[in-house]
Amino acid sequence: MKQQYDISVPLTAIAYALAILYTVLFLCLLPFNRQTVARRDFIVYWATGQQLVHHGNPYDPAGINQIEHDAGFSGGAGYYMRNAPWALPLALPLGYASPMAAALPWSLLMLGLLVASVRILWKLLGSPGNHREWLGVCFPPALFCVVLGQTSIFLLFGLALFLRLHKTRPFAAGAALWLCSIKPHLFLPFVLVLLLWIVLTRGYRILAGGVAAMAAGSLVTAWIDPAAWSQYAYYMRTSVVTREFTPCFGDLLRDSIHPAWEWLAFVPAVLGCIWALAYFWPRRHAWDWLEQGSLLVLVSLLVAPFGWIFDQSVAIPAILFAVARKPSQAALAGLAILYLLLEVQVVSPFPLASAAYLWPAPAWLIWYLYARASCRKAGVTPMPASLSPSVSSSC
Amino acid sequence: MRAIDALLNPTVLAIVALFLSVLWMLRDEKDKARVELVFALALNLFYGMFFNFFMTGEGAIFPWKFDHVLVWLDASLGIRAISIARALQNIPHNPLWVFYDAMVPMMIAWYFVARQRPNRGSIILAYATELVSGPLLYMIVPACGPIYTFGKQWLRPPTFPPEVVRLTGMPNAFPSLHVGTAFVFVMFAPGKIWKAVALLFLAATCLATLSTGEHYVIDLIPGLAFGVFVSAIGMRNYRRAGCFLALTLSWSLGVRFGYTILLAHPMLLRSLAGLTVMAAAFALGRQWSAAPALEAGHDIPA
Repeated sequence: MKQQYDISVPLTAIAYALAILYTVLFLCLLPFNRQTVARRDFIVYWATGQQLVHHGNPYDPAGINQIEHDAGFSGGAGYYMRNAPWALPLALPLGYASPMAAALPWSLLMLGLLVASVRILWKLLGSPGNHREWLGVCFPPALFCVVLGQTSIFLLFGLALFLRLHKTRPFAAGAALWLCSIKPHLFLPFVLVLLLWIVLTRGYRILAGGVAAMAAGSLVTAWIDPAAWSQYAYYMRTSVVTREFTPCFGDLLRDSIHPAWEWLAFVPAVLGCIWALAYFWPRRHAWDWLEQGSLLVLVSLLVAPFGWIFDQSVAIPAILFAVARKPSQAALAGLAILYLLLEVQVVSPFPLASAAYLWPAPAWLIWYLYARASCRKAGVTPMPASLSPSVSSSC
Repeated sequence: MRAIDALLNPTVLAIVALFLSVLWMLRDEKDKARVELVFALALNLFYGMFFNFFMTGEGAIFPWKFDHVLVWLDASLGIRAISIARALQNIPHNPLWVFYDAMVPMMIAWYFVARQRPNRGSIILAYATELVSGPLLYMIVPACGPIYTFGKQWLRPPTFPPEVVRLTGMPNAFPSLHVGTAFVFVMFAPGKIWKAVALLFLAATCLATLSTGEHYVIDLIPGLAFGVFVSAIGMRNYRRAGCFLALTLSWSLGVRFGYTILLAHPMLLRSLAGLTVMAAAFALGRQWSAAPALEAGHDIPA
């Protein structure tokens, strides 16, 4: 019998090759080029670490900017850490090293967390054995995060741990969600449903774990910078960060109607929360965080009021969930094309804050639903016994 | 800012359309057709943005345009776009611009129309082929259209020689993608009523492209061939697709490198135009006559 040619195989191979090539080239170049180190988001975290070590204000734009310029940064002002104070302990270790010494370990840490997250998720999905977990490792926004030295991989790691532990170790799962709180605006509908689910299932250990981790993080923050909260409050009152354009639909809506009306950026998030409630309620008795939670994360990314391309790293659980369900060749080819388009775009002249980066968020959602719909139609091979019934019954 | 201005802002409309369609898609996760439709809508929205970016960049890097040549080719053809446009300007409250602007909603609507019948191929694939290959063809014969070339004087342009001129603007005239898309609707139309609707829409689109000053008559002819090419790709009839791609490319390359010959021999130009229209009509006839067999599940004749 003549075997049908699978176009998804060469396409995914090219997507993998490009992703690995970019990352390896960059990591090899990093220890030798001061400009490369200073031009990345990493320099913000490093400068914040410097301020913390020297008991300076981590939310002082002028101070941070001076440190960044001394390290070789050549951009304008406004390049500083915007995360809430409980994220400050993550930046502290960078303050004890020079930027050149800290840059590569920081990127390798991100890469390690990415690989660990994918392994956790793939094992959770039953390790289908087709090596498609590489679609998670080569996910372009995640590798972009590694290259830039951004912190979105922490969010992914927290989410992966939560998905892995929420049934067996709820307290630890809740504590893992502390990592997601570094950028809480990316999870608004997700958090709403999570709180409702905790109340309905009486899963208060998850809540306790989350609160305990936040409290521990805040204590560490208070220890390294007792004035962090007041400094952050002052920064939020005076900065124009909420008027900045980032490639998300909330900001596009705000800038299209009235750039000074900052609340407009939250309109999609409010609508997303309403949808999330309507989606969760009929499914509340058989809620599965891996399956339905994946969709929820993708919608949360779509409606986020503030977000960058690398923040979409948290879409990896959803992508892997769909990939593990043996989607059609067309769906896999489509995913490879999305990867390739994004890999080409990141080396194009589009700046990171360009509206040209709006497309990936809806693209992941559309692809996810297409892949799931196509795998239903194509028929599914039985899932491994190690999977929970709620997972194996779906798609 | 007035609320109505905000709501009619094209970007706001696009966001609202995208979010409503995503909401509709999420209402039934099992329906692949919904996903495909939302994909088509999103592709259209983002395509416009990237298309403007690349074409504006291309227009800036290569500012030489063939608009003056196309005007002369119209004259050589014996049907001048400007004459038709002038005649149509006399219609009070000319409704033709609606047909020109209705292309994206019509593409969405036709998706639903085309999916009524089984084994009709993929209109989404046809759209995708069109959106990818169209700009590449624009680059072979860069031209902006009369209204962008002559500005307010487009209905009564000054005299000029048939030569390539330096113009700033997006090259998106030759061939006409509007006519190509309208021809896709005709090719994919399922029943007699829809066929009639599609033919009327094609005729209205041809007039609309001329009356709005967006195209020359000569743009519409390879537009028909291009429409057959992308429809054939959608129907996976690759032999037909290859023939009509060759025909479309011949027009583009012929105008680009041989316009002096075409201008010197008007009969040759008219014969080629007539043959192209006949070839498109023949392909349409084959497609329509094959429809009963297609619906019965038989293979498409090449």
